[in-house]
Amino acid sequence: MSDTVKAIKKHVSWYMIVGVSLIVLTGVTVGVSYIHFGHSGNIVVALIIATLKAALVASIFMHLFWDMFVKMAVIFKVMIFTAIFFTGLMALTLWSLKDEIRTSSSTPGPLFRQSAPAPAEEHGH
Amino acid sequence: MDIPYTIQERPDTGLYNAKVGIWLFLASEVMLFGALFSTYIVLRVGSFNWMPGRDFDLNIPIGTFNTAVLILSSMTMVMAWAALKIPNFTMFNLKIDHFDWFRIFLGLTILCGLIFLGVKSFEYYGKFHHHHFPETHTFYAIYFTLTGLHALHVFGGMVVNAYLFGRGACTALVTVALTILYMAIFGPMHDTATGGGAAFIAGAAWLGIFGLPLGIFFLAVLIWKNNNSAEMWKSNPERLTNRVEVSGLFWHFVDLVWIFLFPVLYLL
Repeated sequence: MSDTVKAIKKHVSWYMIVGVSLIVLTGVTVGVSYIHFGHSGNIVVALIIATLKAALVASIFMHLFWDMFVKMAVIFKVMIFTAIFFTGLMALTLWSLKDEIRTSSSTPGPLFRQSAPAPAEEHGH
Repeated sequence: MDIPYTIQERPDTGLYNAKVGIWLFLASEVMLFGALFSTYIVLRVGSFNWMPGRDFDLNIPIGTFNTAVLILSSMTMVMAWAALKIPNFTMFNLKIDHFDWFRIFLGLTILCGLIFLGVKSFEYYGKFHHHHFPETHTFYAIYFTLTGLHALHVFGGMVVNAYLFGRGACTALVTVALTILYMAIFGPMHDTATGGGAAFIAGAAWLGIFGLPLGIFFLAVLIWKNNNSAEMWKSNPERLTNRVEVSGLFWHFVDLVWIFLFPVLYLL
């Protein structure tokens, strides 16, 4: 339980520690972005740090660490439901990679036609 | 009419109603920002040679500073709530009442929000001044959409926090924020017509004609007869504490979104 006076008194120092570590991690994010980790390495590293920071905010500042399983069964259900929908949403972006127009003509999708070189079939016929 | 379950827990959820409500709202917000993030991914993956934000002159030190400011504001927000919750709350051995500590921390939160929006409008001003608009490039389209929507959330959170601080503060804040917005958006347009510097003169004039008298008026209101939150603190302290907690949850979420936005737009 996070809402008794005694518990919150203990949490106050956690708020400070987490606040400072979030600012330090921001510095780390920036520093790490100058190092090259390969094609998609930088994206993965930056997202891992961002997820860690987000987890700190959600668990300490938003009290999920103390509350989630004890008190907030409803919130837990809402979050699982949201996670499923969010995963589905992100899966849609993967789906777009298999876009039929892109794979059949090996040119970018319709959004990028204007800046792309003219597709081959237009020359052929 | 009495609103049920503002303090006591509802038997079936085990929480007061506003807390369930804000979490449902945050779930919908996840989907809203998720949709825009997925748009970013699709645009980026579909692009021939995607350039990161730093190649579009996004200023990384300024962005880092703004991130730190927002994190700091999240910390002060949770401290404001803790100050209300702990009867003998104090820091640095100062003899200040814990409600006053609440106001100090909430005031710092609002101030940090204001600094964040001020810096953001400064960045926007630079972009508009150099004729970089959402239609200029796909990157700018997604940059302005995501940061603009996020700034709106910051503004919304600040209005609620200012309301919890006191009615007068709320209106004064809206006045100042609208002035900043005016300077950021319309400033560069004045610039192109009348030359450099005119934007800030126009903004200052606007502030002088409308903002200052309004600000002074509402400051007077603030000193005199504001204080719905102080009144509520006397009549119903737990309800005020819960309101601050709910406002805080929203504020932390806005911080959380920025934690992802900053590396995605500025660094990658």
